Amino acid sequence: MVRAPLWVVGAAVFAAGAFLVGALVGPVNLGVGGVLEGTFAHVLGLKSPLSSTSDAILWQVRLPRVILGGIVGATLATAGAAYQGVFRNPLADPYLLGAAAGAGLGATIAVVYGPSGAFANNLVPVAAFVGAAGAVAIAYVLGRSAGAAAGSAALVLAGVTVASFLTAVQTFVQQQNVQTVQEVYAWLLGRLATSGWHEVLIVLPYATVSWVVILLHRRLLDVLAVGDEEAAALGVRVARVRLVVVVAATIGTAGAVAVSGLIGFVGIIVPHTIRLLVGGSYRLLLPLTVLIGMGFLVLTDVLARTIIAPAELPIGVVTAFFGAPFFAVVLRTSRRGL
Amino acid sequence: MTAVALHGVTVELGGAAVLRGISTSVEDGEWVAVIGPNGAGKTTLLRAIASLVPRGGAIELLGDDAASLPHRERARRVALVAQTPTMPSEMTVREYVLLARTPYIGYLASERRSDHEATAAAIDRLELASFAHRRLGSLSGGERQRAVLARALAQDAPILLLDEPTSALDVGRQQQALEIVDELRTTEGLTVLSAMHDLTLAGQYADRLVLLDHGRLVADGAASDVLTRALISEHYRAEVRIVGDAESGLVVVPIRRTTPL
Repeated sequence: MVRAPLWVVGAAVFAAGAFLVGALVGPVNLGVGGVLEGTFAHVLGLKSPLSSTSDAILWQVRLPRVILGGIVGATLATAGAAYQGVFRNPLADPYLLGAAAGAGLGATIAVVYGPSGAFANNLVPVAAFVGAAGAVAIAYVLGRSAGAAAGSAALVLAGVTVASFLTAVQTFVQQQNVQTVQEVYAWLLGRLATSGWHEVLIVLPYATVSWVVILLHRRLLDVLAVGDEEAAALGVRVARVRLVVVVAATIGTAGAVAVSGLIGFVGIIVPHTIRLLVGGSYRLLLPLTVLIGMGFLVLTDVLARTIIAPAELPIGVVTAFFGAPFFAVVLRTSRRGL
Repeated sequence: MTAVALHGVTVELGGAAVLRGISTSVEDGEWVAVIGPNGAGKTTLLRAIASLVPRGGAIELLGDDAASLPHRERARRVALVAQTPTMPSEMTVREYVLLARTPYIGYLASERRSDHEATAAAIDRLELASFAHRRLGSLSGGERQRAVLARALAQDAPILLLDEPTSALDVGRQQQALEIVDELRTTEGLTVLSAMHDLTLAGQYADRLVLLDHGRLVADGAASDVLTRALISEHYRAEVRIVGDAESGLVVVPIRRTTPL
């Protein structure tokens, strides 16, 4: 068994390597040296050695996109791991309590009923954020009203119920307004298109709060592994811990959804791969999930924009293409006690 | 000193009365076995003492009203071993035992050296040192039982609640587990309250037996007072013979009925 610090160093190297690859790959070759020097020049406030065009490509196009991918990947992966912990369900993902359906409905309503050019004026991200957070809040209240004794199963069922209902509403609205199908559909599949640092700055506060709160609960997530009742007998206020973690994961997920649409499977693939490698303890799992989640989505995005270049595949399609077979493997191995 | 005092404890679950006015007390260092037929309320009584179910009446733990104790303080006084503990198969024995230190660690804090020491001591105490890095999923039934007891011990609570501690073990392992509990009770000064199915073992190990039926306390006393043919026939609806003596303890022998029910 490799020791914990080595795993963290390895994951950090993976994430840094992914950022470098992400910044390097594109129609214009900037070179490793150019990427590193240009980046440090901006960070340290020095004069960039790159030409002004290359500098703009690096600083205004590639780096914002790579950083956004890293933030979204880390957020979705961490939220997935947190959900798997508080629901003790290996197949839980950040959308378990209806965040995806809520975001989908919010975005659809914004595209269909909002003023034209809604994407430009940021209505869609706001509507998606509100939809995602609102759906989880409704599911939570509904699940809790089933009684504390019913525990996490009632919450999951409430999430399924809310998601089905919101999806039905979204489908209805979409059916009435078929002319906007393509716009909504493209959004639902997820994309990491950026306009400078704008999206990064939008999502960063939500993502940071989400990571910090979830990481601080890593020991308590381990305690929850012995079940609600035994955790309560150890003095843990289980419902409160679950609420805090769900709120933190939802804030991060809603922020990620707002800037990147729905990117599936990241929240399942990343934590489970790490579990298979290092075991189930959240003390190690969560820091690794942040780092590997970053690197994973950055590399996925590189594939999304190179496979059919100059066109782009929706990143949700790429994660699902690799995620679905992986999901099958997880389902098989979960019989062996994931 | 009284470790646990129950004053008219009632519990309703799903609208049904599961415990109806239980009053008794357990003295410091005593071992009390809770017996009774299936559904009598044994497990619920232990859960009520651990404050895991809403209840009426009052429960005192070491002289303080349980309802007024903060969650963590309560967990420092009472350790509960569930009937079928959840043991995540990927978790190592050490990680599992370390969870017991939760009541001593601040909400978002980490373990200190003293927590690791208490964990190591409990692991040593149950002779699990060579298993400390093993995953729970790879342990045998007897080893799992010892890991569970190590966790309860590391919780460092003076009151130990055991729900059917030996139900999954063979006769030899049952004896070993109960001997370990008895030894911990004397060396660590624990008070033990255990729900038990096996009446013979209950009579051999406990100082006192409490018999529940339909949520009521129907007998409370020494084994010789509670393990009687009349009481067992009435509350378990079983045909038994009580044999044995003061030296070997009482043995409850089921007898095949010769008359139809």
